[in-house]
Amino acid sequence: MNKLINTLKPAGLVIVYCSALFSYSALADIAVIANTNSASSSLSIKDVKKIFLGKNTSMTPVDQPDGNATRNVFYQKAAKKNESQMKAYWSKMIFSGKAIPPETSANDASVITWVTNNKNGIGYIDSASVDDSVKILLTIK
Amino acid sequence: MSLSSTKILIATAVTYLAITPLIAQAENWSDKLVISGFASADYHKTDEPLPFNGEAGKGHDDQGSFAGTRLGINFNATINDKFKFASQLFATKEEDNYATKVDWAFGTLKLTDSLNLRAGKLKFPVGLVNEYIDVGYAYPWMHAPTSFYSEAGPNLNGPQVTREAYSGASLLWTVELGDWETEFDLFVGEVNLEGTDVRKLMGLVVNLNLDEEIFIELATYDGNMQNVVLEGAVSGGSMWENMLFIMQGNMQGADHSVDSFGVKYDSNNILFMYELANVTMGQLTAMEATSWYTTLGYQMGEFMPHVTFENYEQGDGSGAFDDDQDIVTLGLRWDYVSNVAIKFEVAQIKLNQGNGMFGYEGNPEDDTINMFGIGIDTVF
Repeated sequence: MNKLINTLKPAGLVIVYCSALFSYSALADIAVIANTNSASSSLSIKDVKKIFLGKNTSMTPVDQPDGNATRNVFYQKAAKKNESQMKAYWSKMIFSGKAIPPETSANDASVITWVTNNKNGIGYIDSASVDDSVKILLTIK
Repeated sequence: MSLSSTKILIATAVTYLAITPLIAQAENWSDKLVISGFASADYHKTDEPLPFNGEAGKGHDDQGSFAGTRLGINFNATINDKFKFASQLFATKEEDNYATKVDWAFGTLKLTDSLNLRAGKLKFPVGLVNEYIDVGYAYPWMHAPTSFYSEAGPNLNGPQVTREAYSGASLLWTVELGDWETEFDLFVGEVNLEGTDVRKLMGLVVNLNLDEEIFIELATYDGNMQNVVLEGAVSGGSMWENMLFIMQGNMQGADHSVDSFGVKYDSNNILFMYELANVTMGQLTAMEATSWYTTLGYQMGEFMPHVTFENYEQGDGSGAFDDDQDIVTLGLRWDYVSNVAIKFEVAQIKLNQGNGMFGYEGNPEDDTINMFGIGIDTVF
């Protein structure tokens, strides 16, 4: 046992060292958008996080598709979780019967369409894609 | 009919009466049904002929074993704003067959924005990962640490910290305490352990969650052992079989109690987990147990190397039931493609006292046993 523990100690140092090699790089701003008739005028990033993690059901979220770059950046910034960590999170929620993930929409344009058709809807898109048909609740830089 | 059974029946009836009008109002409910699934294929091999964590054909031994391979299909139906129903079918490898069962099935009635009533067959809420313990994709290990999460086998060796599922009702109250999202789960019901019952089950689990990054769980529950299955030998068997018979007899009517603590940090690519539990069984010191484990992992892109230390002690100084087992596991999770994770593990099991989770069909050849495993997990 002691031999194995001694073997594992250097492995821990390697893990800490490697953290410097995987720093997160910033991408484009992300706009969290809602229907123009939404009762909300702004949200904190914490509120947004809760809505998209199924912890707050006051609004109905729509997600970008799996593997989408905007989606990955959104969850990295809002929830500090990468794609596989988010999949693990939803696995926990689904298979314990507590919540199901948001509906997904194909791209920024379809998210805008979805939000304009759902009074209580909320989505996120690349800030460059925002138009007058929706209102911005939060810009994540 | 026992008092606990009556309570469950009343709770179920009240829930049914409450939800019937809601179901009737539901329109196109089939559009709101989400079907999901998970599967894990695991292979383990040890350097010990006796099976670890299970009987022959179910545990891991030197012949290699796919025990632990499992499949689940999950149904989540949102009937309306007030009611949803979820159920899970589960199959696991047992010798050459895959036994299928309804793992859990319960309805959730939203009483207020922060208060939910659940009733049916629910996953046992004690333990940080117990509610999704079969979903290998949801955690770094091939299976949750056996020193904490395995149920005791027929020979009573192994922890009795948590259970698979219970039939009953649960009141979930969520409240914000400063920055902490706090969930109180008050549950009542009963558990069936392949014949043996844990009746008059009542427990409270408090979960504190800081931004999905730090989790703290405090849990306690009590139950009463009934219809204890006697699998030992009243006479004419080995010394162990005779003692097992006496112990199982003494467990009849005993109050079973567990207190546990858990903490998890999962952020900035670091995963840290620690859980500790104390188990008592009436005045039976031979069944008193302490279990703990700790895990440290680091996410590096699609790889997560991790290390786990675990310990399980039971019946200190009680002779035949005195067990003290350490396990250290070095593992690697590789998110190979979307929704698929491949896992590798090497573990060393150290028996400080007794046979640990190798049972009593014989004695292990050595007090240090090595094990390796490879597995694949998927969700769909």
